[in-house]
Amino acid sequence: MNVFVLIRTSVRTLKKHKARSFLTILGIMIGICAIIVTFSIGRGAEEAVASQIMSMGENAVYVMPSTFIKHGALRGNISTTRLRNRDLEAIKKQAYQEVKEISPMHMTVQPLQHIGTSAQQNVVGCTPNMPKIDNNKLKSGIYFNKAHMKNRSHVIVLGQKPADELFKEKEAVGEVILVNGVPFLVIGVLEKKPHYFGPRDPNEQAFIPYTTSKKIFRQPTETEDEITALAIQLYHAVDAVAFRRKLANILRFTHNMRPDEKSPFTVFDTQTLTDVARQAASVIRLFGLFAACIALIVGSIGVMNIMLVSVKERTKEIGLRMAIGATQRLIRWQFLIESMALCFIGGLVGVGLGLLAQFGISYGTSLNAYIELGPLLVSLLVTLAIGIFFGYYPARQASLLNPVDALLQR
Amino acid sequence: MPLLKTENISRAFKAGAHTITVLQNINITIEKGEFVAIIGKSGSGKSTLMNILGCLDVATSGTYTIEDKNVSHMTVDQLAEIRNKKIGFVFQRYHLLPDMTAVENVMLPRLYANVSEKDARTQALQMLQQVDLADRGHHFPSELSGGEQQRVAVARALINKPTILLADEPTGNLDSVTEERIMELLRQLHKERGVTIVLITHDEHIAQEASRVIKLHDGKIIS
Repeated sequence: MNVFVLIRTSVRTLKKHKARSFLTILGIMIGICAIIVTFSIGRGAEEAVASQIMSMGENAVYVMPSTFIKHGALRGNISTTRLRNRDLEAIKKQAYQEVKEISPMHMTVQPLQHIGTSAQQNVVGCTPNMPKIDNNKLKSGIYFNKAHMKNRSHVIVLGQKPADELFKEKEAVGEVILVNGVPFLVIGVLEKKPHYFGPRDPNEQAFIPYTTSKKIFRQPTETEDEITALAIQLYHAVDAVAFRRKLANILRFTHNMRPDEKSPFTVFDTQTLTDVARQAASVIRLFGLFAACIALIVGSIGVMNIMLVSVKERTKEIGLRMAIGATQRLIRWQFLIESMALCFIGGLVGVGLGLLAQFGISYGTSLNAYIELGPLLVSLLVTLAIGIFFGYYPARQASLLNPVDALLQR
Repeated sequence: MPLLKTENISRAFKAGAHTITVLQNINITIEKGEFVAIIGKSGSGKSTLMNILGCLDVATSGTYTIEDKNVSHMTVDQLAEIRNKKIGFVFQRYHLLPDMTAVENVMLPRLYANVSEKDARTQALQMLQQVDLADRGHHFPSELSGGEQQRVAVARALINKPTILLADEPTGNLDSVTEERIMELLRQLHKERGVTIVLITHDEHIAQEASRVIKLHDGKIIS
């Protein structure tokens, strides 16, 4: 008897018990669907992380006082250790082997205005190398240069969000805006960055020369040499964790602190951030897969139960088949193929539902749908394996029936 | 060489602490082309004897040979092959598979004999023609009368050209007109095609069709 006859027989039997077959494969369907969706979400999250690595500066390190994280950029009376020019100089001098670019940052929140529209934004004073550190690209215009720095020019480069808010679709470059009432010439607009979840979203910022910022926006309590934060880009091969240790030591020295004292500065580096994000993504994925696998196992046990019931119900059929010459092997195959067909159909429907769910997710969130043939095929193979594994016991029970007893059963 | 030969066959069943002996020292020899009836009341052991003759069951002691081949110590798969190739069954309750059409029921033993589906179907249609059911091939058992179902069963029993046809109360579920029709079919198969038939029945009248009658009583042959 060839395998196609067996397959056709199984499909016919399953068709005859439509409702039961459907309920049986429900568990498999849900399990496979869940696996495909978690796989997709995991992939989407990983892709988001990857594109974040691309959008954040490669090997960038940001240093700021810890109180900055806890209380925001408020100055006021909070007594805190601040970064100063001598810290910048010390890092440049002592870590020249690691540091490729370094920029001081003077960060304030200012109202931006342009003919009636206004927006409250972070304005960052920095040096011309900042876009290299942040990996910011210009959509239009230019970035400010050394001459702008020297002259303390009133020029500004807008991130995507302030540019949109002030100018909508119109070209911003060449226009004049008011920053806290002071006119600034817009010389550049940055490209939008997707999937950003770092500590500073460059899409929401505006950049002006450091010297200009220090001159115009210095707070009453702020000293001339005070720096809000430092942005550093390391050379490609430098290990961020080792550098952070070195950095902590440099800062302890410049601030006259004991080696065992807790550093008052917080350091972010993109290496660690991406590692953390990637770990989070893989934890989500593992957990999801784990839950999906449990659903699949429960579904598989359901298949085994129904197959056992089916063997009981069809004892007479089995007896007759044996009487006319079916071997134990063929009886076993008949039921194995039936459970495989059951699981495979469940898998197919599950894959279909999974794909639909994927489209739904990519439609509703910023994550991209990942449709890869590999996992889909693997899912279907898994369902066949489940069919064999959980169908074997019932099939064996069927094949071990005694033909006389089976035939005489009422 | 006798077709079937049983030597001192006994069959006992364990029921708790007791052993019930259903067949005792049965010696039967059936030659090729014979039409034998095994007759006995219910409980006489005739169904058990038929199961043993049909290789559905194995005797507790004694030897059973089919064409000089000892069946007593065969494996389950060897027995399955014997049932497939050498023996055709006709049961009182027809035992057709309800989800399959008449043709599909008839071709099943061919498929188990590894014949291609196409050939099996052609042969099944020929068999149905021989039992006058050529036009009913695509009907399901539930759409056929009792007599028609039994004729489908006969076609199925004969499709592998078995050495012997075992019929267990083949007319037990049929009215007298249909009964006559089935008996006529068996007679015809015996006379025209030389099929060896072993008929099991409790009905003396039916048994008279056979050229030889073996009477069973309480698990023993009495004549």
